[in-house]
Amino acid sequence: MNPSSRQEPSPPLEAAVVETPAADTNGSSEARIAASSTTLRWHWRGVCRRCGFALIGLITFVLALELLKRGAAGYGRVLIGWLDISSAASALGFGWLLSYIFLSGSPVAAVAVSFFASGVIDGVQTFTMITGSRLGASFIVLFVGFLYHLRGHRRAASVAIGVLSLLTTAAIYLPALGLGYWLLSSQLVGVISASADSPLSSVLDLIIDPVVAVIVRLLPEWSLLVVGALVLLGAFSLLDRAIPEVPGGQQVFGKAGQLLYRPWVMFLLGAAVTSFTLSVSVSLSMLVPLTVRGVIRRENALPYIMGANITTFIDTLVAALLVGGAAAFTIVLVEMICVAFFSLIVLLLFYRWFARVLLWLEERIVHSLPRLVAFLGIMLVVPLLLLFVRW
Amino acid sequence: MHIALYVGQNPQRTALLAFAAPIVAACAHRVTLITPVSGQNDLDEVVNQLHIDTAIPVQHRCQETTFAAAILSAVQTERPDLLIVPAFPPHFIRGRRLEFNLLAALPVSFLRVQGHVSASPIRRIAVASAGGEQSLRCVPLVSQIARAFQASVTVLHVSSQEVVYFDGFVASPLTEEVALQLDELTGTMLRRLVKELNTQGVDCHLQVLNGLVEETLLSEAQHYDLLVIGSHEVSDVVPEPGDRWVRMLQRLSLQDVTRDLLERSPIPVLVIR
Repeated sequence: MNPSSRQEPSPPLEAAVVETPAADTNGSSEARIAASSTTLRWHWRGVCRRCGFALIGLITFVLALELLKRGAAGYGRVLIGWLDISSAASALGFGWLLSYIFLSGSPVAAVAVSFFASGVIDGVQTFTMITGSRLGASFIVLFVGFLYHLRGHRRAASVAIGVLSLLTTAAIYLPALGLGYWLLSSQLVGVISASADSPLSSVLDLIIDPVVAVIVRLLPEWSLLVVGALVLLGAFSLLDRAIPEVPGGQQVFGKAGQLLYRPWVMFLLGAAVTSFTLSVSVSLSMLVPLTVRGVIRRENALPYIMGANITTFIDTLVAALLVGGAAAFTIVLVEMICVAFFSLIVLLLFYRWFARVLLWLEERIVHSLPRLVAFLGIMLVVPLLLLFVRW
Repeated sequence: MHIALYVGQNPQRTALLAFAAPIVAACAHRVTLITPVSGQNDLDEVVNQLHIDTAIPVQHRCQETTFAAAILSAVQTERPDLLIVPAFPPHFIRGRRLEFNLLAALPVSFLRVQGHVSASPIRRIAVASAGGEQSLRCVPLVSQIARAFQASVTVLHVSSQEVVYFDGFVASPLTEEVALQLDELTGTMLRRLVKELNTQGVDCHLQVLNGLVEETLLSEAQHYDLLVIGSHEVSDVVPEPGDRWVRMLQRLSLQDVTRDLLERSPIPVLVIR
């Protein structure tokens, strides 16, 4: 303010009163507008980044499937022959063990579909291998939790939830395995018409085929299977980055940890969340911010896992459609329908009994370290034994 | 306390009268006996069986043709502090469905006489609480009954929570302390409930159990003479359109623990409105 301005008559009080806050308001509203436009810009930048991850993830996924298919046609057959995966049971054990190596079930299911597409394994073996991948993936929930714990992360499913996930998966998938095996081996299920030459496939082929041609020319044939598997893991990592962050639980499902929801509500929630995350373990870890202080009622967790176990097949369904055509699609669809069928039977007819037995078992296993170690030991030994079963 | 009893024909009527008689004798200052029109002739016999003090005014409400209509009409007019009703046997499916629809619509607290009915007076009362503020609504009625029978009260809270995040390989069950620490609000409310009952001169303590909510409560209830539970309030006020949606969503998504406990409890249940 210059000295001359002091000589001027002071403005009326009302004007001063009005003017000062008006100037402030203008300033703060400008700041608010600027802040909100910055937020909006960041928001859209985030959305674009996630869309980018999703798109690149999808392209990488298809590329990986193509490489796996090529690799499986050559050395996949050798690997399967060397391990003597000649029966449904050994394929079950193979899928189960392979998911331990991949630390996830989805890549193994994609590998199974690729093996089927290149004629290395038959339909029933593909079906049991996919089932094995799901059983193994449930065990991985525990192991990944441990790894995350070592790295100081909190967003991984606890031992109790991991064991519950494994028990629930086994309780539903084993009868589903029986039903699916019967449907496929007795050829009661015909091939459901689904075209592998869908527009998605055709458009992607334009991008993928030249890249695959270059890789095949550059790399030795034996390495295609390994490179395909590594690219597949990279694709899932990219797709994981496309999943939006879950806001704090207090605002969204603030009381999810306290209230008792009807089982079918949690079942649908689990199915819905997993249809976006595609991974049961990621869906389970998403419960952490969704719940108050990271706790959830056991009654709510069980149907959530049951729902998640169905929609986790969506990526395998897409993989089957892209590389295996109608026959592979049918196999995955049969698996999905069988799991959904038994889940709904349980949910509608004897959910209380089912929940009581499973939660009792979980409690018995989790609350004693020797029993937990024995349980984990069994989970390692069973797939190994299955590998040597020849029927 | 103004107590209303449904004393119409029912297989559980003898048990109901045996259970209600000491409560009426100890707590009632006014009694209303409800029956459909067809049960009018039995009322004198019922009064004899209840051994109601001659100083207590007894009102007969014989109206309507069905038990549900008789009860609802009487309750809406009389607004008793407590309604005592019998349980319909499980095989009587249609009657039971009507009964549960009626119970859900009742605007007053009610005691459903069911399961194992002890001939001896009430000695142990279990108050099941999830730790919500509405739990405090039970204090006047429970303290009155507990004082009348010199019964002890246990506030039962079942924690079925599981820690979701990975926290080491040994996951011991959440202890009482840890469960209440994780949910401070619940802990504070449960302690307040115990304190309020103690203030009313009732011997009351808190017990936190670990397990599935309904299963644990039902198994624990076997050691008590009366189970007290809360219920969502039935309001006469017409809800706002927005509230109506929220309520419908809640009804669809939340488990009806009150109904489940009413259906399966091995002992009489007092539902607080």
